[in-house]
Amino acid sequence: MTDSPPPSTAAPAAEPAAGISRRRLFELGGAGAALAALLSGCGGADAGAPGRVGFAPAPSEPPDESPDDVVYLRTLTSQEYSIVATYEQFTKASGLDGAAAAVLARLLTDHKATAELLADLTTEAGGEPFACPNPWFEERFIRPTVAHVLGDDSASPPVPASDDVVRDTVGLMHSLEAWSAASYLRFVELMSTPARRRVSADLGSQAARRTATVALISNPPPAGFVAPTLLAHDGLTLPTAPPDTQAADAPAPIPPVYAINNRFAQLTAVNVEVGAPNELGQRHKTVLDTPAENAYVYTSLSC
Amino acid sequence: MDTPTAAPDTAPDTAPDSAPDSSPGSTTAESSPPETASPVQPTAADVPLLAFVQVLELTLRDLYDVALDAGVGHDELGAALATMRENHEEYANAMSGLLATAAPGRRDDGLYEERRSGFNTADLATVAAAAYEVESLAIASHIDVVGRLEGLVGAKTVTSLLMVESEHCTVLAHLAGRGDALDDLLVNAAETALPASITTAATLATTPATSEG
Repeated sequence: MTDSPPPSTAAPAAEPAAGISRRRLFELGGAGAALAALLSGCGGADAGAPGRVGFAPAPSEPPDESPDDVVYLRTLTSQEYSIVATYEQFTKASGLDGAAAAVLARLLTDHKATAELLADLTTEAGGEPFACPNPWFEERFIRPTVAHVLGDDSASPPVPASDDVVRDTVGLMHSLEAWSAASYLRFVELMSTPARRRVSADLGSQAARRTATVALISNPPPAGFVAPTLLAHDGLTLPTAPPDTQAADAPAPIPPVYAINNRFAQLTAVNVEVGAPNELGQRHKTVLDTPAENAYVYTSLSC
Repeated sequence: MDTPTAAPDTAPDTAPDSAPDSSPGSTTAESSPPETASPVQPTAADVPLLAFVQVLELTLRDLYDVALDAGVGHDELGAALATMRENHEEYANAMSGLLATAAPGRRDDGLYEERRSGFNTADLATVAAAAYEVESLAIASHIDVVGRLEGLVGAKTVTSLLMVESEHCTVLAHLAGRGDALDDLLVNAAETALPASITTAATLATTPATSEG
C-alpha cells in the first residue's frame, strides 16, 4: 500500500478548470451587471437617490421664490418670445408659400404684439418684463424639435432636416399655438385678480383661433373642421377617404389635427411628431406641457 | 324649437382636464395653488353672471336648432354646425353644474327672435355668417364675464368654453366663404352684450350663494 491520499469525499468540481460553461458565463455576467447597477446607484452625491439612465436632462429645481402674477406674466411673455423666435426661423428657412406663408407672417406679427402687451402688464404689476424666449422650454423642447424640422449640422451627431419641411413646419406651428392656448387657460386660475384673468381668457381665445386656423392649413376643410371622435359622440359621421396604400416599411402617418378637437378647451399636453424617420421608421416625438414651477420665469432670472 | 328648454342639471361629461401633475418634464411636483385668496366656487356675485352665460348658450343652441330644422348640417360641410349645437348645450349644462337651483334654464327670447331669420334657411353660407356674428358676441360677452367672476372654477370653465367657441368662429368663417380673410379667422371684433343690469346685480350681491372653496 502506498501512502496515497484517500479519495476525496468532496463533490467533484462542477466544471472543468480548463473552461467556462455557458451556465457559469451567465452567472458571472449577471453578477457583473448587478455590481454595475449597485455602483451606478451609489455613484451620485446623494447616496439615497437612484442612478440615472440614458440621456434625459438632469432635473431642474425651481428657485426658492413664490410665484406671483409678475412671474406668471413674465412666463407667458417668454412663451410668446419662444414662438416669435421659432416663427422667425420658419420665415427664413421653412419654404412656406402662399396662404400658409401669409398665416405665418400674420401669426408672427400677432405674437410680437401679444408679447409687448404682456410686457406692459408686467410693468403695471410692478415687475420687470422678460423679453426673451423661455430658457427651460428652449433647451428641452424648442431647439431640439426645430432641429428635427429644419436640420442642424452643428449638432453631434448632426440632425437631418425633415423629409417634409413644410408639413412639419405647419405641424409645429399648430403644436405651439395649442400650447399657447392651453397655457392661457392654465393661467386663468393662477392670476390673482379678475382683471388679469380676463386678459388671460382673451389671449386664450385668440390663441384658440390661431390653433384652429393652422389646423385647417394642415388638414384642410371640411375634413379638418371637427375631430371624428367628437362627431361620433354627436351621432355624426363624415365620409372618409380610403387610406393611402403605402409600403409595409413606410413610417406611420402623422395623426391629423382638427380645428374643433374637444368640447371644452383642455390643459392636456400637446403631442408633437416631426422630422425624418430614423432607421426604425420613427420620427422625433415629444410632448409640450403648460409651464409649471420649474419653467416659470422668476424675477431672479434675466435675459 | 321656439319653446325654451331647460338644461339638465348635470355637470358636463367632458369638463376640462386638470393640469398634468408633473408638467413640464416631470421634474417637479404639481403646481402650487394660486397665492391669492380667490374663492374657488362661485360666489353670490357670480350667480347672475353665470346665469347670463347659460341664457346665452341656450339661445345659441336654439338658434342652431332652427338651422338644423331648416335643412343644414346634414352633409359633410354642415356637420360642424351640429357639433356646435351640441357644444352649446353642454356649456349650458356646465353652468347648471355651477349654479345648481339658481340656473335659469331658459334662452334670451329677445336675442333669439332678433337673430332667428339668419338661421332659418337651408343656405349654409348664410347660416354660417349669422352664426359667426352670434358666436362672436357670445365670446366677447364671456370674456367680459371672466373679468368679473370671483370664483376660480367659474372663470376657468367659462374660459374653456369660450376658447372652443373661438374655434367655432374660425370654422364658421370658412363655411361662410371667408376662409382667406385672416381677420375673420383670427380676430373677434364683437362687443360684449353683458347688460348693465347684470353687472349691477353682481356688484350688489354680497351673500355667498354656494359653499366657498
